[in-house]
Order: sequence, then C-alpha cells, then structure tokens
Amino acid sequence: MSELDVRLLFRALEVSAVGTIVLDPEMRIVFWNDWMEKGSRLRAEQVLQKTLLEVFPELAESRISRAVESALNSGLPTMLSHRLTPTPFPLYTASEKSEGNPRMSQMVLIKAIRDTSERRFCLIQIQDITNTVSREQMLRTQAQELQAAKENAQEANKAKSDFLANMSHEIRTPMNAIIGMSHLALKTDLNIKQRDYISKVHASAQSLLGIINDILDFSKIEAGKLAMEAVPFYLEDVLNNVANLVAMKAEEQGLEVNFQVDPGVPLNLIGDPLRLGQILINLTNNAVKFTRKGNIVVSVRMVGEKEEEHRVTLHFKVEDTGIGLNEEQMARLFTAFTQADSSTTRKFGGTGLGLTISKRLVEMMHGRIWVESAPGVGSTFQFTAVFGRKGKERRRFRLPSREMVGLRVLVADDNPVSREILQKSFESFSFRVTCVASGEEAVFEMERGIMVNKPYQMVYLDWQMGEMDGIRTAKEIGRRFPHAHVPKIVMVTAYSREDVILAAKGAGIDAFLTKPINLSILFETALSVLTRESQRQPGVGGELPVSPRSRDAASFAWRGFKVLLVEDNEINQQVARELLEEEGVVVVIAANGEEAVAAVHRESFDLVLMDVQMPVMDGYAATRAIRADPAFKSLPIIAMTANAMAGDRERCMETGMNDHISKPVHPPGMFATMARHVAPRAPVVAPATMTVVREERAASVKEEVIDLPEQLDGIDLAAGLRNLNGNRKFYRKVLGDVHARFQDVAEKFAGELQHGHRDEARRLIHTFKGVIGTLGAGVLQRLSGEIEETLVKGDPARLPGLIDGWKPEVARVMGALERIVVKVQPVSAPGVAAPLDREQLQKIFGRLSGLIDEGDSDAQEWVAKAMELLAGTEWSGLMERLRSRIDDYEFEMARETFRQLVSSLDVRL
Amino acid sequence: MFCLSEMEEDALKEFFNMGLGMAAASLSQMVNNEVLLSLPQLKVVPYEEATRMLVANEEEKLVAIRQNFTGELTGTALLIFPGAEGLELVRTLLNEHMPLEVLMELEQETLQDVGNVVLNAFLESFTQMMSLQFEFEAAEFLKGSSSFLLDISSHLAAQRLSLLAEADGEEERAFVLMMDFKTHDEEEAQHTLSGFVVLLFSQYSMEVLKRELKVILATL
Repeated sequence: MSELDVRLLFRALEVSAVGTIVLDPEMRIVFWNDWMEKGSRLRAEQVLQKTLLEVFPELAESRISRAVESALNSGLPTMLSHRLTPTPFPLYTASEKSEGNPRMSQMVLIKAIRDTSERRFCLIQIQDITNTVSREQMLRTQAQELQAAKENAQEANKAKSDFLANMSHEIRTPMNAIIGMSHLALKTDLNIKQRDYISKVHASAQSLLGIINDILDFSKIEAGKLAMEAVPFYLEDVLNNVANLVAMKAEEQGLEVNFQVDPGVPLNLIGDPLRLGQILINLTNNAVKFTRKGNIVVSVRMVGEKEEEHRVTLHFKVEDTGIGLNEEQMARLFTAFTQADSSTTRKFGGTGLGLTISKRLVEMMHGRIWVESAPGVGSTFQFTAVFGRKGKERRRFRLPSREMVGLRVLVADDNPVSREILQKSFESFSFRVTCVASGEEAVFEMERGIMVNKPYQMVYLDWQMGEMDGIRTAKEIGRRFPHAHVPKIVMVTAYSREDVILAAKGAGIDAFLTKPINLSILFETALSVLTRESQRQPGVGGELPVSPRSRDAASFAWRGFKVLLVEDNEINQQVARELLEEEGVVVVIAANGEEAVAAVHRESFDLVLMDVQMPVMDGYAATRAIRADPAFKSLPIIAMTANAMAGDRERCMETGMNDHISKPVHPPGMFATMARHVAPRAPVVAPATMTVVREERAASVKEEVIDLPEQLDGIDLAAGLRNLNGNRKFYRKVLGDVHARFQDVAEKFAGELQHGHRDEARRLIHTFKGVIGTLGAGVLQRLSGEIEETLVKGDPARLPGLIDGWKPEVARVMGALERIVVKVQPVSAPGVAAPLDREQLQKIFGRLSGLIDEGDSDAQEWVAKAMELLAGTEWSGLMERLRSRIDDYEFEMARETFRQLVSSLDVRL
Repeated sequence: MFCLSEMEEDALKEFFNMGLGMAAASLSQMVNNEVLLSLPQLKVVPYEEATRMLVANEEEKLVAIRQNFTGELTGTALLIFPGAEGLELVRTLLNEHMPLEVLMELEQETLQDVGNVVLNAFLESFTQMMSLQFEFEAAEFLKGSSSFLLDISSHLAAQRLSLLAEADGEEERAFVLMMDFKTHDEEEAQHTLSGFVVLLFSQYSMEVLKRELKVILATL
C-alpha cells in the first residue's frame, strides 16, 4: 500500500460519520477521529498515546473496559446496546440549548483487529442513536396510549352489553305486568270507555315492547352477540305465524294479505325460523303500515339449490300498493335510525330500526335485501336467504286417492291476486282449476260444466264480491242445480269467521276459510270437505265445519291440568295464574325454587312453569334439584324468564328444562309452548285427580253463580249460550252489553236514514244483525238481515214496511234485555227496592242536569253516584243507558234519557 | 456418524460449564440480580435431530443471535430463544410488555447485546482452552425457522470467508453441539432466560475440534 493510499484511508476514517477509536494492545489510544473530537469535546492531540482509562477514568470496571479486555485478550467482539448501557461514553450531542448539552445515546461495537505482526488491537465504533431513541420512545408512548384506549373501549363495550342484558330484564318485568294485566282486565266487565282505555294501554304496551325488542336486537347485532340458530323447521309454520300476526292489522285497514309459495319451494328447512319470521313480519308490517288500499302479497320462490350440500337459496318478496319510495329514500332505507323522511316518521311512527335489523339478519343468512319502488305505486321489498335442506321431501301435500287427481275446482273471487294464488295452490295439489271474478260468472261456469259433462266438484267462493256475494252465490247454486250436481262449497273470507258463519247460515256452506290462506289449511280443508258426506240440508244450522286452524293449541283442552307456577313476583304470579285458570288449569304457586322442589314432592303436576331469577333458590338450581330425583325425569319444566339475551334459552335447556317462554308472556304463545310438552288428556280423567280438581274449581267459581232467567222474550237462550261456548258469565255480560249499546238502535237507525246516511245505516244494521244473532234472537236477526239486504240491493219502497215490522221486535227483545240488566245488578234484596234516599237523589240530579246541559264529562262521576243510588231499582236500566250515552259523549241523547229519568223518578230540578 | 468419546464429551462439557459460569456472572451484573444457569445438557447430534429438538413446529419463526467464527476452526455459534417465554428476561430488562412481533430496532439491539454476552462467555472459555487461532465476527440478530437456523450452509454463505473461498461442492453436514440452559431467579420468575446455545461445525472443523480435544486431554 503506497504512502498516499494510507493517508487517504486515514483521512476517510477521520471524517467517518461513526465515532472511531483504535487502541493498541496496551489499551493506548492510537486513533481518535473527528467525530470523537466533536462528541467528547477532546481533541486528538489531548488523548493520543494515553490509555482509555486515563482519558475516561469513569470507565474503569465498566462494561466497556471489560469488553476491550476481552477483545484484546480473546479476540471476542462485544456490542453494547442502548437499553442495557445507555450512555457508555461521556459524549454529548451538539445542541442549541444553552443549558448544557444532553448526553448522547450510543450504540457501541468493540472488536479485535490484528496488525501485520498478528498483535491484537481494539477497534471501538460508536453510533449516535439519540434520534432513534427519542423516536422509539414516542412510538412506545403512543402504543401504550392506544393499548389503554383499546382496553377502555372494550371495557365500556362490555359494560354496555351487561347494561343491556340487565335493562332487558328490568324492562321486561314491568312490561309483563302491564301487558298481562291489561290482557286480563280486557276480559272483565268494563264499560265502553274503560275498555277503550285498557285496550289502548294494551296495544301501546305491545308496540313499546316491539320497540324495546328492536333496540335490543340492534344492540346485539352491533355487539356481534346475535347468533343464528340452525334448527329444522317448516317454512309453512313461519308463514303461518306471519299471517296470524299481520292479518288483524291488515283487516282493520281493509287490506288483504296474500301468501304465495311456489310449488318448487322445499318446506322442510334448516335455519333460524324465528329470525326469518322476524324479517317477514317486519317487511309485511311495513307494507301494511304504508298501504291505504290494495293488496299485499308475500311470495316465496326458489332461486338456487346446491343438491350435494343440501342447501337452497330462497327468494322472498313482499309487494304492496302503498305510498312507495323515491330513489333518494330508497338509498337511505337500510341505515339505522332513518326512515323515508322525517314527516313519514311522524305520520306513520316507528324507530326505523326494523329494516336495519332485517338487513343484518338477511346478511347473517347469507342473503341480500333490496327494494324496488315507485312513489304512489307501491314497493317491493325482497330478500334472499340460504337454508339447509332436511330430507328430499318437497311437499307435504299428497292426495290420498288417485280419484282426486284432476278434480275440478271452481274459484270465484273478485280480487285477481287471491284468485291467482288459489289457482296456483290448487294446481299444486294437482286439481284442475278454473277461475272467475264474480258470483254470476261462477253460476254460469257451473252450468257450462254440467252441460259439457265436466261438473265441478268443489267451489271456492269469496264472501265479499261486488254484485253477487258468496252467500247469495251459494244459495243460488243450491236453488238452481239438482242435488246431485251441487258441489262442495267453501266460503273464503278476509273477515272474521264468526261474522260470515252467522251470515251464511242456511246457505249450504261446507266449510269456511279465512284469508290469508295457508297451503296446509287449504289442503286439509279440501280433503276434509271432499271426504265428508254432504252436510247440505238447507235450513239446518248444525255444526259447521271450520278450517283446521282452530285445531291448535288454543283449543287444547286445558281443563283439569295441574301446573306448578314458580314465580317470586306477585304481579307476575297473578298474571300467569289468571291466564291459566281462565283455561281451566289448576294452578299451585311456589314463590321460589325451594318451595317448588317441596311442591313437586308433595303433589303431582302435569307441568312446571319456572321463573329463573328468584331469591332463595333460582330456577336453574331448582330444576337441577327436581331433575336429580329420577321420578321427575320426564316432568315438563318450562322456563319463564324476562331474559331475552342470546344464550339464555340454551342455558335453560342445559339445566334440564324442556322449553322457554319469554316474558312478557304472550298468552297464545304460552299455551302453544305448553301444549308441546303435555299429552292431551284422555276424556276420562283419573278419579283421584278429578276430585281435587273439582274441589278447587268449585271454590273459585262459587262466588259467582251466574243467574240467567229461564227464558227471555224473543231470545233462544240455549242457542245463545251455545254460541258462546256455554260460558254463562260471558253470556250474561254480552246480554247487558247489547242492551247498553243497542237499546236505541231503532232511533239511531231511523236517524241515519233520515239524514241520508245509507252507509252508516247499513253498517249499523249489519253489526246489529250479527250481534243479535249471537245472542240467539233469531227472529230479530232475520228481520234485520232483510232490512240490510234491502238496503244494499233491493227495492227501497219495501224498506218502510220492513222497518215497521222490525221495530216491535226490537222493542220486545230490548225490553227482555232491560229486565235482565236490571236483574243482574249486583245488589242486595232482589225484587224489593230499598227506599230511595230522595234528598241525595235530588242533589245528584240537580248537579247532573247542569253538567249534561254543558256537555261536561264530569257528568260521568255523578252518573256513577246516581247509579249506586238507583241500583237494583226499576230505573237502573235507564241509568245504564244514560251512562253509556255520556261515556260516548252523546250528550244530546243523554239529555233525553235524563229527562225520562227525571219525570219517571219525579225529581224536581 | 461422527461421535465423541466419553472423555472428549466430558471435556467439552467442562469448557461450557465454565462458560456458563461466566455468562451467569455477566448477566447478573447486567440485571443487578443474581442469575443462575443450570448445568448444560450437551449433545452432539446431526442436523435433523437438532431441528426436531428445537421446536415441534418447523414453520414457527424463532429469534436467534448469531456469531460466526473463522480461522482454524470455522463455524457458527447461535443463541436460540425458543418461543416467547424465553424472552422474559429481556422483557424485564426492557421493562416492556410488548408482543414479540412488534420488537423494534432498539429491542433487537438489546436482544443482540444479551445474546452477545452469553455467547462471548461460552466462546471465551472455549478459546482459552484451545491452542487454535480463530476470529469472531460481530453478533447479528436473526429471525427464522428452526431448519433455517440450524442449516450451516446458510450461515457459511453469510460468512465473509465463504465469499473468498471457492465452494468445494461437497455438501456440508452440520454437527451440532446443543445445550439448553435456564436462568434461575428464586424470587422473580420473570428473570427466567432459557434457550439453546448451538455450535455448528463443518465436518472438517469437527475433525479439528476432535484433534484439539485429544491434545488437551493428553496434556491434562
């Protein structure tokens, strides 16, 4: 190496950006570069030829001196990290700050190098890592802050979930009381006003519960806590449930809800039926809410199938003819807390959570949800969802005999949508179907059928059809065709079955069906009608077969069943007990788990309803204790809890309970759940049990011996009682109610006609006819029916004559009812009226007079006082009428009644 | 299969035992707390077995400190930390509770520092006994699977000398000296440092080592 090269390399080391020191074998400094001069504030001349420890005495016994020794002696390299030896050399960074220079953070490498004569020298290299250190310090602080924030957030989220679970329980418990108690209250004797109030409380509580459930669901989804079940279910049961829930509301608005299931859709599925139902109910309810008139069609078809995986994709559609949505509204639709617009919210109500929840649920079912709509035309909400298949079975509808295949069915319905649905349904049962749009066409088509020797064997008539309704059509068919050619006739109605059964008495109807029509019921009804001998004997009322819907849990014979109700909350005890007792169930109450365990050992029960959260011993522990005894292995235990969070149900099952009812209790749901776990009673009950039951039942009924007269003018009491399932108490109440509501029906009816309110008059007479028929007032019913018919379609000239014949009958029946109303006033000494407190009466009537004149609702209060005074007297009937008029704010008419009372009582005002 | 006699193995163990003592002393000084190291288990095993001993899962990434040595004896010294628990001591030194994946520059350096101390302690006792001349390269930080870490060719490839020397084409069989060790700290369990010290030798170097051991044993 030339002289120049050595100097060049020396210079390179001098200006290197790394602190560089070279020590000779005796640890003397032989090289000290520029970087070292700056960092140590020591010039090379000051340190050269001195040992390292002479320059930095503080390094004695330090890691550096040991590392240098190790390098010189053994040739081993050492690296000193900042963390373990932060500032090995007393070096300083250049800093602008006047208050001295901060010590430099360093990383030091110490290595042995050999010279040409193999002597070991030591090379020390120092890097300034001050910046790296401060940068990492900053990052570390940030990371720690983030970590802390994350932990806080997780904790807060957990607290939120716990809060929700608790709130759910806390809210549901009082909700149970409100809903249950108002449900019970509605079954008691109430005046019109009270009934109105309580039914509004009941409806509001239900809708509040709906909102609470929505919010809880939403939170669960947000927290990722909502789990989808995968259980086998029948699609039909889900649709059925949806139909039951939305039908009433739709009916109120005069809407028809139709269900259409494509024949290819498999019915045995695996998935989460509750959640599917929730989506459908939500979409259908929306459709009902936003539709004023027209149709709602819920349809299902199959869009994909993976045979080998046993999976199907179903496409659900909910179409309405409602207010519709514009583009912008559609875009915002599935976002939480938004509705189509704020004014919509005000007009139609709702939280706007329903669609968001539906969207998430659909996504959890591996589907998607979307909407097609045009303002003013209607909306179509649709979604797809993937389900597992259970078995290959496609349809449960198999005709029992080959003869039925190709059977001819005629459908008469003025609604094209329901016509189409009926047609498709029958075709799926392999019947041959013809559809017509009116009663006249139906009769014509039947004649044609007979002429070409292809008679119809079954006719489905819609009740409400324009010119010629179902009943008239049925009558016409019976009149026109010879007996042998009269097909089975099934009446289809969107109205309540009771109304139509009454109206269709004697028309020769073989069965009734209520819309929305469910495939299974349609099928079963068709089969039962076809396989039954004709019941058709004009004029004979008899037992009319009704659609099999009534054959559900509601009609399960509960009488004589014995249930142990385990519940600590007294209100909840009362709600459940009364619901159960109403159905004839014998109820024994245990206030906690311990009492429950004692009770099952003491006496035998058909079923246990078990609250979960209780003092002393909770429901889980009690269930385990009961199950521990093999004698109670198969005793049905059903949890009744206000916990609605995921996993509660599972926990109940794990503990050994058979099922779960969530509070607030939904009575039909409760009985349906119970019915799943008990065997129907044999007609003959074991005598021992029977005695117990009798005793207990007798005790509860004793106080209310229902007094009904032997006979009532114009009313067939036996028929009336039959109409009300033999419930004497209810019958008596209905008699009173009818009297209160309709005693002035003749005046009202005449008034409506006089003012030209034909529709109102028709409605009044229609309602009256139905109600009076229920009571068993056959003659009056018939007369009223004739008036109605004439009003609707007939010769108006006949009307006065009819009305003249009708009025005396009304008076006769009302007179009879008035006597019974007087009689049933729960008051002392029947027959002999207590002497009247004239003075008091005078005072009350004086007050009432003014209040009624002013139309002041305070009158109610005073009427109540007067009623107390006049209870059991001949005036109580008039008082009842006065009260009902004031309750209805009909002060004009109330004044008239009041005058009657005043003159009859001889009160001076 | 190359193997050592019982005497030779004992001698090696003795060297390493001394190294262990020195390592413990150095670590104690660094953490200001007495660190005890358990007696090493010495094994001479072929590559495959060594891989198996190290971890069950070959895919798992391990952290290691490497120091190559060259000269009359050529090979690689590795300190391998098996899994996260082996790093408790380092964590304690750093006063950190960060997951390993986010080990940053300075933490790597620290690990390197600790590894360097431990390896130096072993190597020093080793070299002081031998009359052989060899040089050490600076400690390096590595991350990799066990099969990578125990493959001597990968280490040789990284050696400066292998850049100069012509590849002899012969496939190098690794001979692995393995010890597992553990620190003890009665009061504070978090001061545990456990790992493997691994010495990888080429076949040639292993012969040199054996010869050297014979000389040492003869002089004793």
